[in-house]
Amino acid sequence: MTPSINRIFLYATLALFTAMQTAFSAPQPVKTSNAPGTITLDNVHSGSLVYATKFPGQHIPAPLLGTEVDIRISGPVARVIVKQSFINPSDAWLEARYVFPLPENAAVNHMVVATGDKKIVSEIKEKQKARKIFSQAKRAGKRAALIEQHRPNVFSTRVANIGPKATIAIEITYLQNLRFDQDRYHLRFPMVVAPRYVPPAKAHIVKAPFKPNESNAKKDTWLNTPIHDPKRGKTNPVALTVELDAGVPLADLKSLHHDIKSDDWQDGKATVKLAEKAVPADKDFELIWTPKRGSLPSAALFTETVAGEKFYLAMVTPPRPDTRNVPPRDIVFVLDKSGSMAGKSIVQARKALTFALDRLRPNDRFNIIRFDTVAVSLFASVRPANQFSLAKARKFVANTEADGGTEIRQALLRSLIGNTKPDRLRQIIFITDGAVSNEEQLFIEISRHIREARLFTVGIGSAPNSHFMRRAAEIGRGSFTYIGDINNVEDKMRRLLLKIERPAMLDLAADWAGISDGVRLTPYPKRLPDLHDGEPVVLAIRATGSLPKDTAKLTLSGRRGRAPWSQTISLDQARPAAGISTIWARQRITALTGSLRRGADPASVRQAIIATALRHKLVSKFTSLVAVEKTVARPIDEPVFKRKIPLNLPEGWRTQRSQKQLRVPGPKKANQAKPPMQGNFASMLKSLPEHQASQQMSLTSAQPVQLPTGATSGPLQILIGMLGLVVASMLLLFRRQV
Amino acid sequence: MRRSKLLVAGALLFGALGAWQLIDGGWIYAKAALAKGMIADAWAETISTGVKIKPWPWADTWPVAKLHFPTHKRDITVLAGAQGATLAFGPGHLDGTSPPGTPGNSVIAGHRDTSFTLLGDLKPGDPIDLQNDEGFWFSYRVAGSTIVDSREQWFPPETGTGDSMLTLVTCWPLDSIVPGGPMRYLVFAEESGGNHR
Repeated sequence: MTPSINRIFLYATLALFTAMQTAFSAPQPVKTSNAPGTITLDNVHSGSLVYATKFPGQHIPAPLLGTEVDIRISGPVARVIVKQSFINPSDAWLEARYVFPLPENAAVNHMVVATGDKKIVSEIKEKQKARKIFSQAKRAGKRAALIEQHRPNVFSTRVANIGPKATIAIEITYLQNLRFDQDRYHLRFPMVVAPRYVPPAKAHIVKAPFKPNESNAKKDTWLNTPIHDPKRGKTNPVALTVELDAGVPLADLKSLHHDIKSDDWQDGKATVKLAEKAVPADKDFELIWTPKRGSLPSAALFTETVAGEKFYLAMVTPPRPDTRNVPPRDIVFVLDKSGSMAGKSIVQARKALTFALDRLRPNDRFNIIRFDTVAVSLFASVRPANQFSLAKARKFVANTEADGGTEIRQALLRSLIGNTKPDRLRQIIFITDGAVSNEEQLFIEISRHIREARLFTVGIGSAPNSHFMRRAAEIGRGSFTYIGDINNVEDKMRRLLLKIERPAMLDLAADWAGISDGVRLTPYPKRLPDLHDGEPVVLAIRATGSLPKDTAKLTLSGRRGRAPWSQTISLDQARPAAGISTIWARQRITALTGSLRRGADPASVRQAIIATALRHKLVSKFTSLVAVEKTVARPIDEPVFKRKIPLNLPEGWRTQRSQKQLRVPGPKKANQAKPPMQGNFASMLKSLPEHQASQQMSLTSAQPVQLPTGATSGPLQILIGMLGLVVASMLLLFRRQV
Repeated sequence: MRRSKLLVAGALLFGALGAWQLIDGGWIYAKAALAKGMIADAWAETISTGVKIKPWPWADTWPVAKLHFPTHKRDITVLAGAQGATLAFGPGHLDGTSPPGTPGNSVIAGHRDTSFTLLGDLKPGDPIDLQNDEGFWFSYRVAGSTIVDSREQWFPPETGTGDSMLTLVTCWPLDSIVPGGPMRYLVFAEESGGNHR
């Protein structure tokens, strides 16, 4: 059998099974946990936070944390130093751990541990090795610190052997290239989960993970450490300073969410501070500055030489399309209302479409085609977006229910074929879950008919066929937007619509001239993306071999609509700037991670990331920074307590948990069978204060989970079946004997 | 004579019942076994393309992670969602809990008699590896287990520090022959860091 026949056979068998299963299994009543008469939150049974019951009243406070942020901006690069001070309020030796967010493109490359007047500088190591070094130092009683990356924007620090009533400060340095968009630079420092210390008093009692005996109970005066005044929780220990050197005169400088104090900034140099020494950290710090019109060259080039290698960062902003004269559009919305869209998907799709209708301008024309097995269009051809047509359209959308088959081809052809005057943009917004089988045929139709039109696919629902939609958008020279969550409909649609209002810069390419032989250039990103309104091309380049002469030239080219655009910069324009190599390395790691998606071998990608990260001292998924003090601080016979710094919920997040709900329910009395193991919960449950959640953790809502049935009727059915056959054969045997 | 006919009729009846139940019960296993290969294929495609791939065209689920149990030398692909229809083909990741490999608690449920037979063999300290949809591996260690009543509200516990953890769920008692009981056996695993691979 060929693989495809094999596959078809498998599908057929499986289809049969699923059909039979549905046909034969009687519908089961759905049990909900909230049914009347069931147990409410107040009487969750036999909860067992192990240490809460066994060793009452034993607790030590978590370490306190203060944060100072020092941001130095030089042109397009920000160097940020985050100083975290871990204060141990107890009389015991502590280990602290703290998880915190940083901007997504942050390149963490330096850490210094300061204890008293001593400073220990970090080293970059492979993650495993770094952990080993850290835990060895910890056991030996040396002060040590470790920074690890968990996600591109989530990091953690661990600090070992903080003495009684002592403070250890660690300074983390990261570099970041700033976002430049719509003529403005943007700086964001995430503060939402920066520690607002002192949660409700009860919550920061952390249970001791051991049973004290007589001798150390005497020593452990921390048992009586008073609880901190909760009022202190309302102040914030984050202080922030920005040293701005924009390199160009400015027209504007503002902070989006905080009051700031600044000296004169018109010349592009300024010191910005928060108006108050400490602000409530319930929102991110965002600073935006606008260069004076015409002062910012359309092209900027920065360079740094590290160990015989030259690094460049090029930022080129193409001229913006004329905003007063945005071409009117013909937009065709295509809505999939097939049965597979039933449920949440169709609700999302309706919402997305309604939102898009609201954003049409009077000189736009539009039409809606909805399809299942057949395609039905609202108007015979595109209509101007006026009050009447829009009212009709809204009604049409609201009355759309999901059922029927998925016959995309007819709808697609209808949307593609149609006359549009050359001065109008023709855009097709295709909202579907893409449950189709004739993909190849559809791709051919799209490429045949797309001409100057653009196809934007919007994926809806839990399991859209993203392959189809991504590829269709690629062929249709548009983009693919995936909306997974109904709460994201508006945001995602707004972004899409804003983006497509003006024609983008396409087919971007970078070319070099005047490069001598033996020079190897490694630019990132490898493929330049389309540029939308006001975005610059940002290219990080490494040159190895004999360094390129200053006569070398970089040419960027592209086209907007039919109008070609190109710009050449010569390398002697490059201004030296520190940190360019780090930014290049960070871009390379991003690109390597992305290559996994296109089928690169994970093992070699990992090797490449480790090599790059070690060389440029970057914290990455596979590398960490570790710093260890030479001398021993803690007497070996003193125990160390591991404490995790509680995180706060970002503004707007609410947790419904009470102390009770946090307990893991244990076995009920009625069911005392011993599970195969009852391991050490302590490691997991020892710190569950109710406020502990970070922005990332809010992926998990504080909601109860309905546990599904974890067994099939298979064994029972097989048993019954066997019994049936046994009885049958016994009857037959009996008959023969008779 | 009459008695003999009655016996034949009885034999036929019981035979038919037996055959029906055997086939019906067998389907459950056959389905799980058949689906396994296709789900594994879909997973291989998912991690190489970064795209959600349905294992068969009309599936209403897709693989979201792979679990590897080094001590038991077992690989199990985890599907999205934990509805009954999904669990028939393999363990499912409960919607609304943390995506596998991200900070927070990822809850994964499976049938004790098909996909999650090994849950009862796990011991504290046992390693569990998890591959996310980007192809990256995360290491966990079994921390403990508990039994809960599914008729009561259950809140997934969290490490409280933003660390990742897993909760593996199956029916309790593990060797009961009757399905649909209210008790659930839960195994917790904490991220141990490091990458075995």
